[in-house]
Amino acid sequence: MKTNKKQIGRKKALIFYAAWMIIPMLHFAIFYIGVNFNSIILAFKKYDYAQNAYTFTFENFTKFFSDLFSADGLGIVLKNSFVLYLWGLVIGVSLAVLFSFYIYKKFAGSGFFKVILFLPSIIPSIAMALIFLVFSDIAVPKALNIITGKTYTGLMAVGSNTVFPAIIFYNVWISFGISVLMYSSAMSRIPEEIVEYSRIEGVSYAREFFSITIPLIGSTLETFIVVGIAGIFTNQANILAFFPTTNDRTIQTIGFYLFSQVARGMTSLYPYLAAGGLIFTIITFPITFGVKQLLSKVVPEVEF
Amino acid sequence: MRKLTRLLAMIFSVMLLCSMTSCGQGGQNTSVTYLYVGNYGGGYGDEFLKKLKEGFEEKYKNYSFEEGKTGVVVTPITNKATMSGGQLVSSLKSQQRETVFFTIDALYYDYIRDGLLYDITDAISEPLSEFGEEKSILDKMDDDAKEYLSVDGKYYAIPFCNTFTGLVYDVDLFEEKGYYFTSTDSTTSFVMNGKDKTQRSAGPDGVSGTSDDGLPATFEQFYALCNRIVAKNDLPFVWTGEYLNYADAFLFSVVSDILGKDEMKLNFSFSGSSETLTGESGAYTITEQNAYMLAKQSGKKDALDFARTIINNTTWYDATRSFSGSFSHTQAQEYFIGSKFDNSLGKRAAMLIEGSYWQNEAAGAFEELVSAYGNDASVENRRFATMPVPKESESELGKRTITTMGNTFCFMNGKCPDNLVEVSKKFIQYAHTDAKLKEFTEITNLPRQYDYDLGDSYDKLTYFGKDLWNLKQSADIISDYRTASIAQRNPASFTISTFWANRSGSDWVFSQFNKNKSYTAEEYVSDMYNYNERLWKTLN
Repeated sequence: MKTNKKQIGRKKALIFYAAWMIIPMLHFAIFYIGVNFNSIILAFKKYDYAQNAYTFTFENFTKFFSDLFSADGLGIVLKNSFVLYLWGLVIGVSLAVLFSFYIYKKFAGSGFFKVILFLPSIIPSIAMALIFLVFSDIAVPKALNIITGKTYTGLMAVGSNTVFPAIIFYNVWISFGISVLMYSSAMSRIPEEIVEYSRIEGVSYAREFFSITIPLIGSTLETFIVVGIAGIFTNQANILAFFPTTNDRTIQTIGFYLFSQVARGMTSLYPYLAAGGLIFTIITFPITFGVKQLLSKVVPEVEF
Repeated sequence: MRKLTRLLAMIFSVMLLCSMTSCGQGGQNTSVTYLYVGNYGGGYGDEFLKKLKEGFEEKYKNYSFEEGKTGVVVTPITNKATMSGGQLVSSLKSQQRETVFFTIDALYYDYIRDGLLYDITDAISEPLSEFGEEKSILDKMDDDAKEYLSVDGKYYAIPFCNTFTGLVYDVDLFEEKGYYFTSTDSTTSFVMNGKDKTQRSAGPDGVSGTSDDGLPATFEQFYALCNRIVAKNDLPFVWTGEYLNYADAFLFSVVSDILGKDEMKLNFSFSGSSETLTGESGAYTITEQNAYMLAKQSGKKDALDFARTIINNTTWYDATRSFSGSFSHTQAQEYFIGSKFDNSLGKRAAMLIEGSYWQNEAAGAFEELVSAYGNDASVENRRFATMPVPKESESELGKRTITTMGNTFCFMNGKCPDNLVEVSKKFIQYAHTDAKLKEFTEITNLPRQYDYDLGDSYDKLTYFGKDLWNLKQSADIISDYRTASIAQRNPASFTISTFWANRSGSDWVFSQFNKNKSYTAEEYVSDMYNYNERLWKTLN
């Protein structure tokens, strides 16, 4: 009797669980698995105008590879993606951790910096981009003109060499919001006793930062680094907000290039772009897992 | 606690299920046929569609398009983002709600290949006798459109409203400051009285008494005019820095006029002979296999020279605006029309690089000016016109050639349900009656590329609208319909964006010349030729 009741209870629980999960699972199956499966198949298709039908081919891959490494192809776009990532990794992560430490330690003005650093994450991205555009194109040249008496073009002036550096700066700057939030949150979980003990032992803030804080937030850092690698080729660098119709590859990233080509609606290009997406997935997949494995060996496991 | 948890779980489940319901169809009257019409909007607006809606609903209020239903409700859906490009393609592939579309940048042959368009041959071939007309829509179409749109004798779309990008000049300013020449062979003799038309030269068409009298006939005169404008403390040019593709489109119009109708059409048909290829004597036969040779058309070098001259004369434009990504097309329009009244904007702008639809986009700006400065600032009281492209020399004075672009079409959704086919086709027919074509032009000031008369409606147009209409009557108008099969198989390689491409993913022309002031037009053409020659080997 008891067993029966238990079984019925388990059955009911299972039915309830299934009823809950069926819609999200269906959603996942159609909009993730289905869509990506379709994209993978698309990468191997080409429209044969003679036969008026799609045929199976590897041509999209060879063409994409060829464009990637040809003299006036996508090489510069690929390079931009890596440059953007490296700046984000080296400068963005370093500064984010430093700012987080400053805020965590509640040094002078930390509340103010917290708001300022998080502001770009609150303001709509298109408004933020416009503010930055106007600031760099009008305010900065004007300020420099007042100081030096010379005329300057805007940092984001179309065709200027300062455009992509300005885009890097912008992307690093707006990344601080979420990362500072996450790092300072991880830092605030560090047991107060450890910090107090280090104070008693005369440990300086710098020593505390490198020897205590960084190791103890290692898992958070690891997550950001791994996610960053996964996003190298999807990062559009907010270029759409600045230059929606740009053809200039010297300021494009792979993420923006793929998006902008799809947005044009030229369905004949879709197989080629799908092949490109698949190539980058194949490149990124092992690297991401490899880095994750490496970091999990290097970063100490801590529990508190 | 457990009961509360279960109750909350049930409430949340119901809320979740509520979000799964579809939207948009609720509250519909089931005794009436609903027709959803997708519209890009943009420079065409949606006023014309609202008028079509009113008229169509009235005309068919007692007609039954579906069994058990009488009358029709037309629901326009105007959205730039979803009614063009990739989002339109997704929409056409997945849904059947909108069955008629008025849109731009539609890739006709790609859409047919993917089954996105409905065969409307019968609708456009039958005379519009139901509307009191003898002609069919097909009868009103020009031959270029018929040739391009016919696929095995069938039609899947009709032209909507192709436009062109040119130079718009402020007629009031020109008359005020006397920016007119007294003869076509002098670069220094300007009129004493800008308002006196008798003092003006014959202009680029070489005929006195026409609207282009006094305007620069040659490139030399044009440059002299720009210097004159600067000397009088005005600004010759303004264009948007955010959308430098406008400048490329402007150069497309420049080369169109320089080349003339037959040479320009070679760029779309890839079939014929060219007599203007630099380095080739006599007539050169152009085929689909060697059409990359068209990069050497001398007119292209002339247009690039023109562009380079503009860029290198930095007093002719405001670089802090025209190469600023934050200076949008609407800001450029506001500056152009507002600089007459508002000194704080800067020098008064003489010419604007814009599409022929620009006044519709600037409607809001005109209203704001009227609020601030009175009726003198209204679009009805301001005079703007298109500046003709100058000629290389006096010996070439003559008719203008305009190439319109945009791949703008009206078509039916390939997935149109059977019960909505009749009403959709009727709507397309209704929208292309003479009365409705006239109404469209009256509202938007844009001529449609069909054969129709404006009649009394001409007087209702703005000055600029009248200029466009007169241009339609007097100039050679061609469309950038790529009839060459190689272009149809490789649409991404043959767009307005790639017309001036001198390498893979090349930047806009103005931007390239701005980045490198020593880059010459000859070098550009050489790069363009080399790029196209390489490109041809990779095409399908």
